[in-house]
Amino acid sequence: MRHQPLGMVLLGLALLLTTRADAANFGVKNATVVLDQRALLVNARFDLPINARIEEALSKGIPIDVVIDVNMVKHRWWWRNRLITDHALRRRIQFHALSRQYLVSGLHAHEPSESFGSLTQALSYAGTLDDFTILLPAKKDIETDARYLLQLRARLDIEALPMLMRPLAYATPSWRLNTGWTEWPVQRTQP
Amino acid sequence: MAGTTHSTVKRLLARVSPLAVLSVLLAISLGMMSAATQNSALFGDLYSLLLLLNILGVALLLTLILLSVRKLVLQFRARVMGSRLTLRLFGLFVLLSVVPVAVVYLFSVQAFNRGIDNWFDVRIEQALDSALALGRTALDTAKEDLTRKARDMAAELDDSSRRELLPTLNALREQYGLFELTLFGQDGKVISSSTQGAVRGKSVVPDRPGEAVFTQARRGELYAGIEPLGESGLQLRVLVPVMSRAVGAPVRVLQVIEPLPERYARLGQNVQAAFAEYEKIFYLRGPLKFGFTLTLSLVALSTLLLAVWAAIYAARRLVTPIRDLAEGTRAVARGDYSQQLPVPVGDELGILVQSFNVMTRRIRRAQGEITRGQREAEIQRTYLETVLTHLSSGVLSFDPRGHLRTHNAAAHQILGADLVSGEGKTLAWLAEMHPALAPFVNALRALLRKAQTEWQAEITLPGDAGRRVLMVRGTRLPGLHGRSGGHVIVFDDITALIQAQRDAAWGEVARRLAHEIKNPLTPIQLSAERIRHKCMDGLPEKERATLDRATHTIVQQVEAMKAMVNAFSEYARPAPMHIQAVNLNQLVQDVVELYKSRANPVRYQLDLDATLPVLQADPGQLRQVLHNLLLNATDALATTDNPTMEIATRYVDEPNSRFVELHVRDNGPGFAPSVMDHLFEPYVTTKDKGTGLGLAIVKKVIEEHNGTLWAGNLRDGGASFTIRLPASEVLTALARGKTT
Repeated sequence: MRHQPLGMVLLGLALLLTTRADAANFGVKNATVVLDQRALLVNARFDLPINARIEEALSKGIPIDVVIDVNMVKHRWWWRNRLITDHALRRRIQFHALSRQYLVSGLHAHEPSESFGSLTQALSYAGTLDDFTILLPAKKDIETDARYLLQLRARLDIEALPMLMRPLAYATPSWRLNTGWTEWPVQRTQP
Repeated sequence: MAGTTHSTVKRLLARVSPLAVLSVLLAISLGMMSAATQNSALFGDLYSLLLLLNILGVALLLTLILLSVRKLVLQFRARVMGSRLTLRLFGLFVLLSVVPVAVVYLFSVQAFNRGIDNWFDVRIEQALDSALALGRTALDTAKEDLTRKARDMAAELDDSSRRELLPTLNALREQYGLFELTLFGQDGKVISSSTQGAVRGKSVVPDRPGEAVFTQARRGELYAGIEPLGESGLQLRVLVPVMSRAVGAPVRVLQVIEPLPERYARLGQNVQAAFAEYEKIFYLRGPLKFGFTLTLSLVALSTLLLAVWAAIYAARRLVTPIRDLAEGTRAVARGDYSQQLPVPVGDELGILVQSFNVMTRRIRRAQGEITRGQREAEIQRTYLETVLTHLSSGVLSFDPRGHLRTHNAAAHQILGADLVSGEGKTLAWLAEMHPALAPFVNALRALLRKAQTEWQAEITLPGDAGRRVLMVRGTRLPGLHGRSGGHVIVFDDITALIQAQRDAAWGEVARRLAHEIKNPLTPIQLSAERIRHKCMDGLPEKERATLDRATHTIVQQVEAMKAMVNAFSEYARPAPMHIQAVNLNQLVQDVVELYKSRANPVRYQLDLDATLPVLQADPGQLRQVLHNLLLNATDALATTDNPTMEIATRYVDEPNSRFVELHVRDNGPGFAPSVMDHLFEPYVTTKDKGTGLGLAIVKKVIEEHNGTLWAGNLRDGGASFTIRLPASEVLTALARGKTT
């Protein structure tokens, strides 16, 4: 969530500056969320198509960060949803020229990076959450009869780009890749 | 001094602060952005924020300046004083600042764009490409070597039974000197694995290949790849299918993993790192140019805007005192001398404004003095006018060119002319407008022409109310530089005075005559009677009759002379007055009633004013006056056809005087011009009989009542008498008359 408000402001500014929407944007293919006790099990597939411009940057050694935002909220029809927990998962895709491999860093710092022979594989890996577990903070109570939602979003983090590229990236629609917020119902395991 | 400095600083801050603060913040922000552009370690994380802040700052600055410019333009359109000069100065300053900044900006952009392009050398790029190619070739050789070994091992493993697998793998690994050998089943599960570390008692979890890689191998295809390992390591991974000779047996996959020797790996990674860095930098030269251009543009723009703002500020600051001066001058031209302008600090404009302030102060003081002088002159004039107005003498003054300047009420009254409309006009005008004054004007002209500084003359004016005599005294006024300053003429109507003198003389004559004549009359009479008495008898009849007639005539004439002398002495002696309330109308009616008889053909017309106040007068004497006037008129009308007399009374109430007027008019022949001058003198008569004292007595009585009378001829023929008795002064006048 680094610089997120600022990012939004710049995004808004950039959207004002440019009207053309990019054809290939990020999207969510499917997602299932199961709440088991106080652990949230997330399975999701993101569709992360990448345009030629980003591919070129990748091939030139520029690392691309995909950030998956995962929020769990309690649905409230009468007011804004109440935030239970929020996570930002960052995956960095980088090209290794010597071995011609695409490296994707893990979700967590201790996870080793995976290498892939093709970009498609790397993106597919980056856009996949397999039984990703989130432990709910102890402070938050889970009500049995309340409705909970999982908000998912995948976006290309422009702020993680080299500093000099940021202004251009903000101003260019092809760099502004974002699924937008999607909401998925949280299923509960039968006690 | 400290105070003024303090206030100056305060004023400067108050005016400068909003834009100055913005400018300083913008400068800091631009500095940070510039630092970030040059070295991303500094403020790199804040780059976007700084960029946004700078854009917003520039936008804000632009808005403020546009507002200022708009205000300037509006002022210019409204033709506000000083706006034209402000706009002109502003334009000049902007031109002076924009052109150099624009030139520097364009050259800078061009220079660093070219400079950045020059950083990148084709030879370095080629060298790096070659190094990478060399590294890849070296790695490929190692990969091929490992692939061959893997194939050999797969061939040896193809029919090994499950039980022999692990020892075989271990043996093979030892034989080929490899790091890890793993055999996977078709379902991807590990069948057996031999790792170098396992022997030493370390991790025994085999390194699993990626899903795609495994699928490729399971399809019977070979996979050989180099994978980065951690920070600086590289490993070779080869997957080969292990075909069983038995038909239908499941395909197994052998994975061989061999880390590259540390030295190779390090060199390889170095090449990779250098290549990647170079590629990155090469790729980023576009954004770098863009970033620099952006920073420079922002800097140039903010510099420009600051310069524009400074231009507005400077123009305003420069023009303000000039505008103040212009407005102040306008105000002075309008006659407002209270203008004091704020003095700008220090420079020549300050001196100018100070001088202006001193000037207006002095003008105001001078103006005050002038006003005071005017007021004093006005007071003097009013005083003089008051004095003149209350003078009984008429006063006229003429300027050197003979134009009327001053006149007073008495002059107006004596001359009977409206002098207000004659102000600034010459004597000719007076003669033109009032022909009756022609003798006066002619005499004055002649006198004014004389070189004497003072003169005196008597001027006689004919008029309806009889001739009037004016005593005129003239004085030449001293003028500037010895020239004539005009004339002052003072005149009095001395008709009454002369008349009084004449009357007094007549009184004296009458008294002496009476005295001198009366004394011999008695002896004459006695002597005549004696002659008659003594000589009558001795004379013959004829002479006796003659003597009788002669003595009779003497006695008779002496009697008549006695009566005349008595009347004269009566006239000369002041009669005692008996003052009481008199109704003049009633008195008139009573007297007129006596004259209305069959024998008298005269028709009497009475026009009596009902508002007439009661007079305090001697009714006997007034009755005498009326009798005399009526008698006089009746005698005059003896030869007139259809004789008519008009008797009118009137009450006149004027601001300064209240009086009762009595008019007696007839339609007779009027007065002959020869008698006009001596009408009221005793012994003046046109009749065969009468003493000639009638009108003299009338005049005497009226004057004793403090009144005035005058007689004249009517235009249609006939005589007119007007008597004026003061209503308010009746009492006091009569009281005085009583004491004398």
